[in-house]
Amino acid sequence: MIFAEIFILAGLAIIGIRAPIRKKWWKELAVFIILFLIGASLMIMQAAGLKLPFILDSIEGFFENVLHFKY
Amino acid sequence: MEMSSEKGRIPGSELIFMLSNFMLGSIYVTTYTFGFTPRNEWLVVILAGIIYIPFALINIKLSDRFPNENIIQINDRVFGRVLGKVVSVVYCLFLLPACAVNLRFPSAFLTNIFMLETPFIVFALFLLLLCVWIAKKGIETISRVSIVLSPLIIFFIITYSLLLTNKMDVSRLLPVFDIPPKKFIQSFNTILSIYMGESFFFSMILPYVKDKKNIRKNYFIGLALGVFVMLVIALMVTLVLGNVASISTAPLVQTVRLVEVLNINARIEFIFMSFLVIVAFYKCCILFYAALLALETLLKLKSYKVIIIPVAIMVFGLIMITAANSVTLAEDSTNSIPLVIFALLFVLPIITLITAAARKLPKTPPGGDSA
Repeated sequence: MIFAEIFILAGLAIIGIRAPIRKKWWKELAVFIILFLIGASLMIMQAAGLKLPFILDSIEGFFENVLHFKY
Repeated sequence: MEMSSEKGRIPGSELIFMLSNFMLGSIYVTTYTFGFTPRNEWLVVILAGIIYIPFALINIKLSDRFPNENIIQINDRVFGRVLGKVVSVVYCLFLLPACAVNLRFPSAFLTNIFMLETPFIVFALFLLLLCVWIAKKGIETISRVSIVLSPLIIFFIITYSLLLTNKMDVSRLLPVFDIPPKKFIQSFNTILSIYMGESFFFSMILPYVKDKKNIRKNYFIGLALGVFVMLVIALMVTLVLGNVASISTAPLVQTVRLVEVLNINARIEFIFMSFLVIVAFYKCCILFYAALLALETLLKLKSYKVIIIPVAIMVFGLIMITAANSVTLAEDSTNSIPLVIFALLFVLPIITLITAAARKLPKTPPGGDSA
């Protein structure tokens, strides 16, 4: 599963980086790589079975425990 | 200040349908709110519609002050470069999970109601690919789709309501306010925040509306249309199901399944449901497009099209996380999400407008180049 995902992600990376390289948009290329790495790591960690925290759980914790606001 | 790479412009009339479709995209919240207010849902919708008017006015006032700038550019102008960027990052961090959550609902809906054996991630992937394709086409394509969708949705909702009239009972609306105030407030806050509040992200789209003079009028017509359709749906479900709506897992589906034509259960709910999935998907498209524009403006990129693939991958990663947290997501939709939306999309714009007014911004006449 992880290998299939990495294979697909590599394909998408190749498709995506062609345009900024061709146009010599280096800043855009850097942003592409950073965002791509964040997205790819999210997907690979999920595929590896790591249970990532859902952002809303932490926010709910903040409202309940820090602000003491709960329905 | 420079406009983004998007060169498309949308007519003012299309803003009406875009906004109403965007609001209808959150119709899934009724699944939760009918659990709190099965007989008073229509009151909740009317009240939320009225209370949202001043907040909509704040969005329009911001657009009036900065007619050619989106909220990310406005933040830079109003709060300064550093604090403005921090506020903009918060909006971006909200937009990406919002995309994922909104894309999860039509996908999960298709899996739970129609195709039980198919993993919802399959639908999510296909819907996300469509989002990517539509975002690549630009704002004009997104707005044109709404012209076709809106009349069809309104036609089907009215037709289904008429077909269900023989199953309606006015006494199911009564008694009014027979629930604890806390439940009413929770339902009200959910409708106000998710159904209406997320339309704040139209501040990313308003700079592309051609007819600037009529933005206020078109915005309010779109808002009224969205509230009206929601009201018809709330009344339809309550009049048909009454208190049963509170224990139903999908009150809207259960209601339209009761449609009979010539005393035969027609089972034509799939047409209605298909349109609801399409509008939910439409909302995702707008959020995805807004996220791309926000990142493009924030990072000062030459084109948002360069980052479509990585942003789509990030959204897909977030959808997979929501898949693993589906139970908490259902709870969050009525607990933490409305509160977060209220803080970000209701309170923060007020602070932005007050700061802009206090600093007498913009310093150049509206529409002038103030860079």
